Formats: sequence, C-alpha cells, structure tokens
Amino acid sequence: MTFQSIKRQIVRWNDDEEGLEAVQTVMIVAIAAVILVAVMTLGQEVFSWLREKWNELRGKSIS
Amino acid sequence: MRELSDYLPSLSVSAAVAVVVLTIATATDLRSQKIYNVLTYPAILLGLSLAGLVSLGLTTSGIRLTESLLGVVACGGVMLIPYSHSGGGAGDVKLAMAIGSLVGFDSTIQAFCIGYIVAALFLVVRFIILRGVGGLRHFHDGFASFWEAVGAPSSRVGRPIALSGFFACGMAANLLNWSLW
Repeated sequence: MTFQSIKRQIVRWNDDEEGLEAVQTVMIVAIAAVILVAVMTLGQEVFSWLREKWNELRGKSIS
Repeated sequence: MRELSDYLPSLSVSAAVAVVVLTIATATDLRSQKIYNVLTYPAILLGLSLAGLVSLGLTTSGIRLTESLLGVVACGGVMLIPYSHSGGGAGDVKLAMAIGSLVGFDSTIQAFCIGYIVAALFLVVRFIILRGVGGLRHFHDGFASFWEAVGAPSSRVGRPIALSGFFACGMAANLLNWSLW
C-alpha cells in the first residue's frame, strides 16, 4: 500500500459524513451485541463456578 | 415517591457534553442523513481536553486522559469493522470516537450495544408493519428468506437507517445506571 493510497483513504474517510447504516449490518451487529452481553454476564458466572469447582477438586494442602 | 434525581447519577461535564453531541447528531442524521465533522472533531478534542483536566487534578468529575484516549482508539476501531465491511457511513465511526473520548470505552460500547439491539428490534417491527400479516410468511420461510427481504436496499424494508437516535437511547439508558454487564 503506497503513501498515496493511504492518503486517499484518509481523505475519503474524512469527507464521508454519512450517518446511514445498512439494515443487514445493523442486524448482524445487534446479534453480535447480544452474544457479547451473554458472554459478559453468563461468562463471569461460569468462570467463578469453574474456579470454585477447581478449588474443591484441589482440596487443601496437607503437607 | 422517588424523584428523577434518585435515578440520575451526578452527571459529569463530559457526560453532559456527550448527551448534547448525541442530540445534535440525532437531529442532523434524521434531517439530512449526515453526522457532520464540525460536530464530531471538536467533540473528540473537547473530550480529550476535559480528560486532560481530570488527569492534571484540576477537576475530579469525568474520566482520565488514558481512558479517553482508549475510548477514541478502541471505539473507533470497533466501529471501523462494520464500516469497512458494509460500506456504511463514516459519520457513525467518528461519533463513536467522540463519545468514547467523552465517557470512555466501556460506557460507549454499552450504549452502542443497546442502540444496535433497539435498532434491530425497531427494524423487525417495521418489517412486520410494512409487510403486514403477509410479510410474516418470510419468518415462516426461515431466516434466509427474511434476510433476503431486509437486504434489498431498494425496498422500503431494506432502506438504510439513521442510527444516532438509537445510540442516544443507549446513552440515556447508560446514564440512568442501566448496565448491561
């Protein structure tokens, strides 16, 4: 990628002030957002449950 | 009876500026389908300046400069993915960078997640209203059929939408301490 093409991309990006989004993009990002929310909420619970069970499995050191 | 102030956290200056920026962006986006650089670039600079004041210890209300910089870079980076893949407007990317500089990465991502989910629900409702009961057959035919119907930009259901208003809804929910995670 040459300097000229990078410059052209930046200028095009700067000139683009459009605020519209394609419907399919909105749907895909919304699905991704739901998955992210699920991972962030359920993921924490799953992680703490696994850690608890791991600690139970390990038991206490008797040495 | 609870007052509105019980629900609203003490609003920092940068969060108040974010609300103003989103309100103006919603107005211009709905009116002319544009989010102007005159709004977003100064908002990014203002966000960084306010965060700089917090980092210098001149004020305690708001986020620190590192959080603000992370907000600009990370929010811009996340929003660049749909922009580069779908060829949508760059106005939304710059708006995300501006809000990221004002309230930080986590709050902005939460607000935009809420915005996208509400927008998707709106699109499904609009689809059902525009296609009527007959349109529901697309759901019966499966997701692929529905996908094809909403993906036609020439049709009324496939027309691109202005998202700033939905992002403003997400920001409002965030300011009311409605956290997603």
